[in-house]
Amino acid sequence: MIEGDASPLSLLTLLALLGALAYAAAAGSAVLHARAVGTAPVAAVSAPARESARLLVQRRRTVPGADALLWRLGGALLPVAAALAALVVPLGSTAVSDLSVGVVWFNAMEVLAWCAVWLLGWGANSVWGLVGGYRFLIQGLSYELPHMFALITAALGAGSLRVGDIVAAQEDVWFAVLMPAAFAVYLVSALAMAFWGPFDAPVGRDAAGGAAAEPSGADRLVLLAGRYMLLAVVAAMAVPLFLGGGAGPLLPGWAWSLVKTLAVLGALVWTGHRVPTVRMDRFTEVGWMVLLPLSLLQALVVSVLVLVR
Amino acid sequence: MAETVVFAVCAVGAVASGAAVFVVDSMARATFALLASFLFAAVPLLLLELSYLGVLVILMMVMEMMVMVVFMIMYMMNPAGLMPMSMVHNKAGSLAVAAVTFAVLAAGVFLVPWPAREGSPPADPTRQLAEAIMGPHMLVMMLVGMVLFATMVASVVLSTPRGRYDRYGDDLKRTRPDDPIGGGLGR
Amino acid sequence: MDLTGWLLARALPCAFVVTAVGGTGARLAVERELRERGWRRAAAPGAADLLVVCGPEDPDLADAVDRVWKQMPGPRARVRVPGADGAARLLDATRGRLLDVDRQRREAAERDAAARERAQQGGDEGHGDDGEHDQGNGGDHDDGHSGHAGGEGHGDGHGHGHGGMSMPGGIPMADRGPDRDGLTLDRLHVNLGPALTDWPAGLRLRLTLQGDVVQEAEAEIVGGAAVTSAFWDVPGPAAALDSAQRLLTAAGWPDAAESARRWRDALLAEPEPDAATRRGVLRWLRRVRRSRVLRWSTAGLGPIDGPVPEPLLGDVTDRWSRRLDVVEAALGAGGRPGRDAPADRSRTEAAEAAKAALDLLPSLVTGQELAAVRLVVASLDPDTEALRAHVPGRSHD
Repeated sequence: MIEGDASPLSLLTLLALLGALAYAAAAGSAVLHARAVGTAPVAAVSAPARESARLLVQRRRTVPGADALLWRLGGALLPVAAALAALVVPLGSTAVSDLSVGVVWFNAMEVLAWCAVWLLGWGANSVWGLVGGYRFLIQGLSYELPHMFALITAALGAGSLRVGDIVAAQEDVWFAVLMPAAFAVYLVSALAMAFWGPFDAPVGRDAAGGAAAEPSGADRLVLLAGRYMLLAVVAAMAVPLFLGGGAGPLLPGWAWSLVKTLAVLGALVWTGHRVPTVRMDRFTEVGWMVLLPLSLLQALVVSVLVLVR
Repeated sequence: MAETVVFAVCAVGAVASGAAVFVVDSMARATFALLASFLFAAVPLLLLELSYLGVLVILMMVMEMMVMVVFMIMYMMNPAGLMPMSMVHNKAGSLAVAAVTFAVLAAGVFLVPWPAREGSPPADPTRQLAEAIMGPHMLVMMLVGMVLFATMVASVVLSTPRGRYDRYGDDLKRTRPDDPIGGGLGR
Repeated sequence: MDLTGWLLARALPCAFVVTAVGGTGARLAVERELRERGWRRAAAPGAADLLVVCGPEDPDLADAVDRVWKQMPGPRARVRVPGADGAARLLDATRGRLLDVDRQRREAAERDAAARERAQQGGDEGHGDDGEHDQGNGGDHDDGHSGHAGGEGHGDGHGHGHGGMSMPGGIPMADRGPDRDGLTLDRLHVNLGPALTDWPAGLRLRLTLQGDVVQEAEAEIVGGAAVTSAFWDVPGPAAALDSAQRLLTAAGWPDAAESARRWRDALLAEPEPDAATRRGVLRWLRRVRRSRVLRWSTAGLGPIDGPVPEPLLGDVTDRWSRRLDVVEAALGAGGRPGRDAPADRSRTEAAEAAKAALDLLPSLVTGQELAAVRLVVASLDPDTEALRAHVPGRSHD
């Protein structure tokens, strides 16, 4: 399965980077929150660390009637899915594993998040968790098809499912320019996948935290970390798919990859604070009636372009 | 060597989690045991260097099981599948069917004259697969696709009790449909 | 100091705030303190380590509060803040108790021992702590332990058709009823409130749910029998901002909600707002009004027409827009905001509006999803204090 010889980007480096990006996302979110609240934004940079300290000390809960196995599995699955999806994301020109079907691998791993959130909600034996879990499933059914078509469109433009080839195909023009609708759909579905921002209904405060209502202590820490890791991964994947990967003047490839990833991540985090939650009964219709035809049309346009070229 | 170990682990895992489907007493656990079994079955495809098919099986099985979960909740609203329930119906009959099926398939392994490999695997099996499907069998595949799609649409249309006359009125003149929950586009 | 203590000292507490009827003043003070310290407000007891009960001692609420307390994992500490004065001191003292590692360890050991004892007696599948767990955070359900939970399964594969005979975890099974598509589906009985965050004080909504769709609803007020005066005696811009922050929270826009709380407190602190506050409030107003997503997700929800008090008319969007108008009008007037109406009349009006809202609530939320229920309740925002203090029909002039 792992093709070619050992990549210069080791698994440990990747995980460390992913962790750092996830922390940056959490800290950025805390800073935006502090700005809204009117407290010092600088102090907020340490907020995720202090929250981690709190959760490390907090005891784990056991809930009567809970399916503890599935419940804990759900929380643990989230960071695992994010880390597995990150395997094919290149830093500059090297990924831990540049699979020949990298795009499909990425898609398969991020779909594990569906299982994770649903298990979290169902396993906890709480009405809030259940509602949150099902909100996420309905969200998934609304964003996943447009998301897949956005991924396929990028692969189509390069004529390959290998992420490295997709980056190489953007030498002249970034896919974000060539296929803006696919890029937009990708960003929207990225938010939905990490249940962030306007798509945070699955963990919404109106449902007392939804799928995240019941876990405490280490379980909660893993869940939150996994969510930020997922957000970081989908942001990082936007770079090779649509933003030319590590291409850029002066700086080395890996630096450009990081800079672009941080920019996308920042935009996602900011959007999450800027826009109120989109209710699922409203978004489902938008997903199927607007995003899906839009992404199909975009795929058609790109296929014609590829044929003509 | 490593391949043999991975294959053995997956084979045992697939059978064990497949058996677990009928041992566990909750619908949620059965669903995820089944999913685990499918995932174990997908890994040997990766070992055969059919990475596209292998990863696709993982992707589709996860989504499929989650859709199944949607239906599960439609019929039982208990969080955590509180009520323990047996996952076995008609024990004797199903055991017999399972045993016979297993015997036939296992016999096939030994009886079928497996072809020897000729030549080397193609550089890009994904492309080969696409050409095999979409080249000579293009018409068949397109037809199958259309039939599947038509079946899905038809079954949804047949199963929904509300039609356009309920939504838009007897003369279809309502500008906004009368739905229990309005959608996001107001149509 | 050991590692636990070291980590605890670095952690920012997360508070679960429960408000009794008559506790608005305390709640505002607590919310302000929490905000200024950068402490978070938990959405559920499971995430919290401080339990803050705002308002007067209320026996009717005690049950719900105890239930929340049992759901908190620990280390934990609880406090009642009776009034606005001394909120800061009480929070400090409570945090002190939270940081007392020895005390927390002792408490945890006691809880574990009690849980073990219960598990041995009950023969249930040994569910760790706190036998009680309820579906609705502070709601209550009929807690009928049947003792023979968790059998071997029912053989026919549809075990839950047996009208709640066995009860895994001691929780009664849901019954079934027809849903809006004509299927017979399981239902859950869930209470929203009174111990729910961002929720009108003392309101309890008894819901029968299928999935997250409300089949039946019943509204009542818990506690507050002794309340004689309402905090929002003369509702002005601060009251409107308080309602708006609740709606924005329910709508999933925490940033705008936090800003609303900040300006609410600023307006309360200085009746004559200075230029900076005025600018901030106007900027916030513009931002909320311009949000198309907010308008889109609240439009058409909970429509009310007919003979009801004016603040209730229209759908959720109309109602929150009117609240914003109140804030803007008060700021634009230049004078003391919102003090022009005669106090007696506005008191009666507030109570009447709250009464009408409570009467209408069940019919409005039936058939809606939980998300919509939260938005409808937040848009009506019945002032339960006014209702208790000035009972309509008795306070006619």
